[in-house]
Amino acid sequence: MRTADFLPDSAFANHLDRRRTPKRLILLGGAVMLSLLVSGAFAVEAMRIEKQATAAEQPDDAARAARAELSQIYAEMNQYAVQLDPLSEHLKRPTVGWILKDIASKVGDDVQIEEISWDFRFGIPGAKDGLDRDQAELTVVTTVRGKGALLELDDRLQNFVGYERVIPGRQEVVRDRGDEIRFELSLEDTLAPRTAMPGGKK
Amino acid sequence: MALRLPQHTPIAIHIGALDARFLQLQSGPSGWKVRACACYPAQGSSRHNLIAEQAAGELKNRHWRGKDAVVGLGSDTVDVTLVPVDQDQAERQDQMLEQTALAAVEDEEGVAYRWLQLNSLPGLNREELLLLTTGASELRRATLAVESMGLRPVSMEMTAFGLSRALLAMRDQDPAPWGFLHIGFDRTLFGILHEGEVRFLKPMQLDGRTLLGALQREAEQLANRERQEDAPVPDLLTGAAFGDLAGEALAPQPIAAAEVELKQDSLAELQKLDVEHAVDLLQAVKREGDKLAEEVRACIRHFHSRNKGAELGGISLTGFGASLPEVEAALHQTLETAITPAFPFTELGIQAPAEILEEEHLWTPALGLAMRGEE
Repeated sequence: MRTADFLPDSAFANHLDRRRTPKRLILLGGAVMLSLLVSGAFAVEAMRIEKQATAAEQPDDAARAARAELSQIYAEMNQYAVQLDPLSEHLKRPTVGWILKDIASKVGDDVQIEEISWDFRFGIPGAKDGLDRDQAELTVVTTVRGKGALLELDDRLQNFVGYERVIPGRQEVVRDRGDEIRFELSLEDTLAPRTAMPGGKK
Repeated sequence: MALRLPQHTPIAIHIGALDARFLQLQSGPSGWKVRACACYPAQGSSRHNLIAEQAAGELKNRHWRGKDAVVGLGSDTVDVTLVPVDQDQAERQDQMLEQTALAAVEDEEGVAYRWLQLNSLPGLNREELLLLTTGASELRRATLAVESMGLRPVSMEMTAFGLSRALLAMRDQDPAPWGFLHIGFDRTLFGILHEGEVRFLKPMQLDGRTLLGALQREAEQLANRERQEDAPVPDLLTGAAFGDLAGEALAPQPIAAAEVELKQDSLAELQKLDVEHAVDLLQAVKREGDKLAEEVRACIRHFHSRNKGAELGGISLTGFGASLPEVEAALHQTLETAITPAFPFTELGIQAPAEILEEEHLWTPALGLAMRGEE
């Protein structure tokens, strides 16, 4: 409503401004209080998360008991480690049972196996990478009849056994059997290099 | 007034012809309520000093808050003039207003005036301005009195504006124009409120003093008629002969009112007399009321013609005259429109002590002053 004020307009304007000041202070105080509450809530939440994380990092009783039990098992296992190492070494060696079982049938009808010897060599240093490699050598002494069987023998043996190399050995005519030749073949295979174990090469 | 943050209004000081009323409101969870109120009787030209002397000590003891004071100047100290200004005189408007103001009030210290545009009449190429003039000495006395109480005057407006503000708050849902008749002891004002503004304001010739004189005369006649020696006629006024007052009923009162004082228990005496002689008093008031009603009717016609035939919804009665017996009935009979004493505290739901609720029509201007800035 319009009015006619005999005092200058600024007098009442100043009054209104003074009246607004407490309201402003209340609003400001409210805003500060709200900010404090929000920051306090964040702080409480952060503390809660931190506490939760700290608690998560600390082992619980079950984990501690399990770890102790595991340590005890390791300790007990270490007593047998000395005995277990040679066994594991032995089990790593290639087997030849399957070769002995079928080699007679694989070489052909005109070939007779006279002698088979088996050799296993540990830790031969590699030429390129210097890693130790085990080497298996199978030496077969046969009596071969006919030229065709003689030429195919090395391939047949290598295909059957799967070794890397075939090294021909001595060849001689069998006494009293002029069409037969005694033929010695060596098959060599280099096994996979020994893995580096903690504490150096083995 | 909507409920907002807890706050208090400035101290409203309405300096009337018979007393000064101090009022301060405060808002709370249950709405607005009166924080503190005080009424100090003070009449005459030296009333400002009397008010300051009485109030200065008590202001500290009561629960007043703040130092800002909104002062309401009584209707007897401010001259109201309706100034029509034609468009071809627009250049001379300031000069016209100044001349009118100087002619309206005589004051050795000069005059202060403010004006408001009431109506614009495009058809007549004319504007109607409401010119309010008061003496510089009156402003100085009021300012000094308020400052001597330790308060800081922040507003100084005429009674009619405080009154209008309170009545507008009462009727903010009603679009119809609403009138108010403020029957002060020394000056009667009739105004019309429309669309949230004061659209008409004019001082009337008849005032509360004249009405009181008419009632006094009737009371005297009643006493003579019944020859009741043991029931003396109530002597309502002191300082001037009753006959002089009755004879000057139609004479407009000067700004410096006559030093006539009203006895504090006069209204109670009249109310007592009204119980037994309501019809006689009504007849006595009606003679004066008819003249007042004619003035009011002329004002309504003026407003009617300036506002496209807008009909008045009713008239609120305030001021000293509203408490005189049978005034409301006399005006209602003559004007044939709804005339009700103003009960702003009750209608606005403002919690107030009993001393205010008994005289709401007298506290209306102070309430409107306190509400400034809350519209």
